Amino acid sequence: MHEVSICKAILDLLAKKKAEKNYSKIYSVTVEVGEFQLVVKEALSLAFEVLTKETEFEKTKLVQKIVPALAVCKDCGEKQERQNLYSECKKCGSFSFEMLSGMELKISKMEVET
Amino acid sequence: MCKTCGCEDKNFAVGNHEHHHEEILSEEKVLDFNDKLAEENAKFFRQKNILCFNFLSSPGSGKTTLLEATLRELGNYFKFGLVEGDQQTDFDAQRLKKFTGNVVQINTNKGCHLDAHQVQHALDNLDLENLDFLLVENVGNLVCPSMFELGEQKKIVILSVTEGDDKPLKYPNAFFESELAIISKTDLLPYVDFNVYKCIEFIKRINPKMEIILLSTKSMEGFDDWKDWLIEQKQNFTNKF
Repeated sequence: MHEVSICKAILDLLAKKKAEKNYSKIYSVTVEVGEFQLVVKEALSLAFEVLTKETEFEKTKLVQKIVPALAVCKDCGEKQERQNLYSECKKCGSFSFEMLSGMELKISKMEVET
Repeated sequence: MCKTCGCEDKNFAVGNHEHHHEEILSEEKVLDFNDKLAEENAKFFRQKNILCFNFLSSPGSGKTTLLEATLRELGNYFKFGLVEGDQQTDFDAQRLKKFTGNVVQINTNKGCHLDAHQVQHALDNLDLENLDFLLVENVGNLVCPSMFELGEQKKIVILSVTEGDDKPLKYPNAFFESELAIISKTDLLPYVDFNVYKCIEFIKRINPKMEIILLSTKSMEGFDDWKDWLIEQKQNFTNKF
């Protein structure tokens, strides 16, 4: 259940932003989660629901956007979406990739009341 | 209260309520707090010439036994510091204290991984003067620990032959993030259905550049490869910083 730690980190960032920028409310927060990140969507939603209860973020909506795992084959240069961390290049069969996306875990958007 | 937005503007009923909704775009990393502390740790290690490794594996793969053997074999030549991560008990720290007093046990209780903050505090209780290696044994878990940087130079993943040769594909992230894979308990190979070649092929699918060492701390077969690897890493690290 490391989703609880991740959720706490999200809430700490929200509290910091809210205080820094003087937002009166945060309506929603969008978190981009890479396809290969070890985050279970349902577990993060549950952690968010539990940890925000009776806090200033109780009504804040958590939106999770899954980012596909895009990679470039280091051998033939083919850009492609990978299904998992051990899938081979669809063009040349190599396992050597540079990951372009799919490992991120970031807050990409907030809807706030200023 | 406004039914549209939930805000508590008392004037909304008389028609002059305004919403100032704004969409803020961000690139904020969720684990930024941990990453920054990990970078502080890494900087400290570079300044002090301390080489730090973060050991990842399932429970029971032989991490502590490998550390015991390492202290026994190399303890006279290098100064080691050890951080032991477990949910409960200080059993592992007690085992290692037979070889050195420079050990800190962290109990994560319900936590499933170590983080950079915990390691930073552990440093307060270690003798860091002229330390060569800081070996951090993470909580036995192949999933979560790979997400949390501690400031280590490299991650080392350990897989014992009793766990099955297909484990790398079942838990690929730990193998993706690590730079050395140790296949342990090789003295048990005659008794288990573990195909070494298949396992190595699976590891290389996830991480083609992975270095691999096979060893047994019972028969000590392959242990010299581990010793040589550690010494080579230390030499490279010292020359680099």
